[in-house]
Amino acid sequence: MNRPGVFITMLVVLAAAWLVPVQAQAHAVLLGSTPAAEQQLERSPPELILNFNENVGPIHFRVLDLAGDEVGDPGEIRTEGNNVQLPLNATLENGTYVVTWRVVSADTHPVGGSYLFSVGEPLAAGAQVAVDEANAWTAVVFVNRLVLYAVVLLGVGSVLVLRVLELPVKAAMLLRRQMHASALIALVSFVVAIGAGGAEILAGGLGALFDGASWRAGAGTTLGGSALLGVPGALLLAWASRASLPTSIFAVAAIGAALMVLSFLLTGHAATAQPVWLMATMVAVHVVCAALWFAALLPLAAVLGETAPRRSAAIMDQFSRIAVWSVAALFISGFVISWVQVSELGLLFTTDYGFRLGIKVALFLVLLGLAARNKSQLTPRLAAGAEQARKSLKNAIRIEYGLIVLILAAAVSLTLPVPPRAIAEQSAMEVDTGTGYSATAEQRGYTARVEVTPARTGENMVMVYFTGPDGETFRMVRAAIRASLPAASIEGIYKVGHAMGGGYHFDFNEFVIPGAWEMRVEGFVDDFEMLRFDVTVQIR
Amino acid sequence: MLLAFAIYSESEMMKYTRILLGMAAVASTLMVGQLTWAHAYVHVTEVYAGWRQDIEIRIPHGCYGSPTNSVRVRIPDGVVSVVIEHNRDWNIETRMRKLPEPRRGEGGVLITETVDEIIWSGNSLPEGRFERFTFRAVMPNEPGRILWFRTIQACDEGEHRWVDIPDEGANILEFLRSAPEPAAFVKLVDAGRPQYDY
Repeated sequence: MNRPGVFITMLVVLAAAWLVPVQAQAHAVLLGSTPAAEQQLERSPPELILNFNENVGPIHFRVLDLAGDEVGDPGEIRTEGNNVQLPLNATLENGTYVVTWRVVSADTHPVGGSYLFSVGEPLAAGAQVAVDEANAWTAVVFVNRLVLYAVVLLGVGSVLVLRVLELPVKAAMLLRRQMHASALIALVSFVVAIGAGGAEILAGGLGALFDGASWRAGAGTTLGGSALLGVPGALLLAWASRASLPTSIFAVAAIGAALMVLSFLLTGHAATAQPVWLMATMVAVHVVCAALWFAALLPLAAVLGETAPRRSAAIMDQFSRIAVWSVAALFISGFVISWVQVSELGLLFTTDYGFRLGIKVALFLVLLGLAARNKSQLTPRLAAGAEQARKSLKNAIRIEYGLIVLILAAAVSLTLPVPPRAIAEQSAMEVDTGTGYSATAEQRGYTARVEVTPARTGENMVMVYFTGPDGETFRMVRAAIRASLPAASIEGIYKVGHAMGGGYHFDFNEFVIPGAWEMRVEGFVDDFEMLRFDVTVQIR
Repeated sequence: MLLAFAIYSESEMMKYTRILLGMAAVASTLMVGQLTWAHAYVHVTEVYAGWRQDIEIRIPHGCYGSPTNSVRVRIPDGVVSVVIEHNRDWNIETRMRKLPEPRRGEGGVLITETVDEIIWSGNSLPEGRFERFTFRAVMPNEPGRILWFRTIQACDEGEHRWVDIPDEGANILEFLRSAPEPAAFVKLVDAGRPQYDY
């Protein structure tokens, strides 16, 4: 391997090692569960429910006793909207249990978790759940995706560079070899993505790549569709790059490149976020502009090595004139994509995603600085025939190569965690906590959490806690509850709460019939400004 | 009700038909409800946008048998130049709020504050009698808007908070039918031109 090759490999490995560990949180977010984590139930639950922020596909969902044996004679796992349900046909004896689950979200990222609950007695002292760690396949998926990003950019970019730069024969040969190699590696990488993605979803062992189940799981995600476009695209490009590219064959190469860009639009956050048309356009522009820049570096370095200074300066100049436009397009498309993904400026500073995006932008700015120096200082000196300028430019190109690989690594890492968009989505949720019932509702940015204890007919205590639009506890000047049980035509129950602790306290003796009681919490921001929070509470 | 409109539209005879039709539309639905209307309400259903109008809020009953001892009304955004009717029976106080933007009053005076809340107190209105709480004010020139006058009625025992208003885009009749304690309201209608151009 030559020197730049070693350099790039080291960068890839470093980038992977640096970015993989933060992968622990992936796409779908568990909002709540029944029974909730660490809950003590009085009776064995008839079923377990997981509530997510989006539609998920279940991979596994089990209840284990502390010995690790599956219990409860579970029925088939059902999905209903954002809920995943596991019916239990057998009653659980008193004791502590572990729930373990693993699901895959719309954009191919598996998430898993475990939690404890107990039946009839407190949680067993010292019982703990092993943390669901990112498995070895996560690293494979990461590295493979980085390779895929790099070779697709190089392949697509080579086609563009071939068209826009007038290269001397030797550099053109090198460019074609780059295109050919990229296409072949992309071919393999598109396929590996399916197997490794599947193995990651199933949290398989080392032999998982030879297991049909991994491939089926992977093909069932968006990776399958992506490969369906990417593989033919790579094949076309590989074939076209062998010949000397007359116009007709160039068209084949262009189609191959287009297919590869399209395959990118089918997977990942940016491609699934709304509005789809805008995001797809922006991602495509982003990919094409990055590709042009990345793919031009190798032939430009060759030009600098072999060609007369004056001629190389002319080619460098030709490139920078195109590069200026592509940088502007890169910036705008990148900005739009980030805007949709992050949605709120503050989230940039508080989330992991924002942090990684920041790193990517910082690296890009360094790259931009280098490019500006090349254009404004080195190229004119090269044109004047300075040998030193030629060397500096070659070095600069080598550094740019490394920077782009790092930027790609940051870009790949952006596809891994939950973007703030998913975090910002809120939903009302209701949870049966076993010893009581809790429900949450939102109104104009404020939320009210209603806790009913014990949520059985007879005397009950109701606590209501409010949070303001800033997420902090909010002190309403007054809180009241109107309760009704439409099924039994009971209505007109009206109670004013007493401030207690951080919330409002109500005594309820009116829950005389079990059922789905509707409660309207009236929170007064000031004497006249009232917010209505409607929740349903199950009384047993 | 017709009389009230007649007074304010002397020179606008042409509009009678339209007003009557508009009234019929809103009122017919409300009138049906009005038969059992036991909420705080404004005595008319429509007033002219951009004109100085009388708003008379009526408190129709006490709090589950307990006599009323104070009534507080919050003046909605855009309603300015509030003048309260003199009343020998009640102590009247006001609270002011800053206007989002100062405006010029008659004679070019710069006005920075407007009435935020009117408080009638110091009397006892027995259950089973109704009382009017009246003020004049210049309505915002926004034909079609519904003005909600949030009203708090305090009694010797208990209170009614007529402060509920519908969510944006909600069906108002649906809301009025189901809300336990809706705010008093009036609809602004187009008078052809505003009385004042501020």
